[in-house]
Amino acid sequence: MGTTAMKQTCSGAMHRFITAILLVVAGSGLCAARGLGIKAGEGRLHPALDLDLVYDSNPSYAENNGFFDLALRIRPGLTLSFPSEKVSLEFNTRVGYDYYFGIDKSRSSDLSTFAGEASLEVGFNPKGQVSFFIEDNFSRTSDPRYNSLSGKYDRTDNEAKAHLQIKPGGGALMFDLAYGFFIDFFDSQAGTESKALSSYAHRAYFSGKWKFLPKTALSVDFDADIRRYPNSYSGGDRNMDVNAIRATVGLLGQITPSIAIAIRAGYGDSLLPERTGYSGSNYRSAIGQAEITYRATTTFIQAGYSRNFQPVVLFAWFGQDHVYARLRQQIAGKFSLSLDVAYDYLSYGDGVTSDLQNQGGRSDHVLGGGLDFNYHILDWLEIGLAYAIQARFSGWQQPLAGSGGVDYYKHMVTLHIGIDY
Amino acid sequence: MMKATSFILAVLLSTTAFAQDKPKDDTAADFSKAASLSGSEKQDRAKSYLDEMREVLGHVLKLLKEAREEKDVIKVNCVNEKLTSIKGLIRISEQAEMTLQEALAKGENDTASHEFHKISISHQKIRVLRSEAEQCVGELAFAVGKTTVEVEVDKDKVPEQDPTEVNLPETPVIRPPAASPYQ
Repeated sequence: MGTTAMKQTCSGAMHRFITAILLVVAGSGLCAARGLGIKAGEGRLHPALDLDLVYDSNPSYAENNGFFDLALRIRPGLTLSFPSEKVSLEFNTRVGYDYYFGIDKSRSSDLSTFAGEASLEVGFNPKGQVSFFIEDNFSRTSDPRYNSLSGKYDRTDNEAKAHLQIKPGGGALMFDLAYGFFIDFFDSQAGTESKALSSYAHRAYFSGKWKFLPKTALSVDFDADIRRYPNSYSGGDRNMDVNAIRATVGLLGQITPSIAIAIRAGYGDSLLPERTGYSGSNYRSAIGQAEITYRATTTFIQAGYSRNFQPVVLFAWFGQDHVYARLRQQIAGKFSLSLDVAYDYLSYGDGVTSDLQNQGGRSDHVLGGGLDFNYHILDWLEIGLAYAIQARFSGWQQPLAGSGGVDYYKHMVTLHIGIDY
Repeated sequence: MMKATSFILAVLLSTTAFAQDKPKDDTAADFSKAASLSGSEKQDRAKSYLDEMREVLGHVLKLLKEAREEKDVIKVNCVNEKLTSIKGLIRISEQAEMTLQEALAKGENDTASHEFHKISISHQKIRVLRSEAEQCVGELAFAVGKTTVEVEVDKDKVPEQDPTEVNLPETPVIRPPAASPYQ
């Protein structure tokens, strides 16, 4: 149910970097296998440790590829799983430290930081006709700032969710109704505008499915993101509140034993409230997704296109056209190969301050790709090597004189050791 | 030696089970599928089999109590005989479950499959013993127990994954866009 990429124990710095910008869906990512764990009553406890040594050619996303560095990411963690037909519990956590060696520029070692994430799901009657879930997803991150040797975005995010699921008709119909409260809190830092970036949101979700065949369903989905920015920038401007809604209808189904499709189409609207001094337009457009998945015994191939939008600081919203393809291949039962490519076209709303508006409309092209090779030594132990590239192309110029554009590219090579006992 | 003895006992006890005119069971399917089952699937299935066996034990104990209350020596003896077999099979299965877990932990798949087979055979035998115990006290004619239907699915034709099971969307944590001096 409800959660998360963490549930699948996908981890790694590279993924975090990529998801931050490309919103890559974690769906069938290259996941570490998991051991049997330690029996704890009816449940199981899985201790874990992820060690990533990362070469990053451009940690600060600088236009001129400013400096490189080596980072060691240490993530011990724990998964506690209590499956039950009455009350189930799943708790995942990874908490650790990112250590930057400061090889090219010694000051970049100041990027070193504590980071972590945790998720909790408690299910009441989880397999029953009427189920109720309480979920929470927490993360603490400190990604490097743009064009900065040592500045970080120290932020804390949390979404708490109450989720009701009803499956009448022996599961032929399935309704999900959920409310979530989301907080995106940036630490206040001297000399920065970080305080104004903080936001909170009320989230509402509805999903209805009719399974007219055992593995094929018509779906109706709706979600709302009522986003609020309580703090202002030093100049008095404030980020635009957003009342985003999305509604889609779709078909999800297994076409053949090995091919599945997901098709959704609908409408999205940012529903910006009226504000004196801001004349930016809304995001009002068709949204949707078309995805095809091929899954054989040891091969997984997925390709798709999605169109959506999200609230964002400084520009109210951005629209995203996302084209992606993924390959997962198991080799000889012990090796796994993972290949990802993605292209995003990001179109931004009008800037919330006059100097941003003076820079004209903004649209970015973002390219990302990754190749990941893992050797699963044991069920619970793997070692891997990964390469990823990210690049952004945009003609847009930043308002601060001398700041230049926002283009960048970066290469990352990661040596990964993962234990999930 | 202990392992071999217990398995032989289980097989011997199971021979009468196979001789019964009974609905098609899933043991044969379990044998062929055991090799393709993952470790955790074997473990889960073994646990559910053991739970069911213990449930049968409770049921037969109840039948024994009723037979004793009726003071019907023939019924008592008949049920007692079935009960003794059931207890023996449960003991074997419990031992096999422990060995199964140990084998999985060591990655010894052949041993794990062997132990899983033992539990499957015991499970099937106990189902038959339950019916026989009910026959001892004349219950079978009017027993209206819970009916269970087990469906075997060919995974080559119907994959395990269900594309209709999609989680609700997450709220993405988005990196602020570069825009000095605000980002």
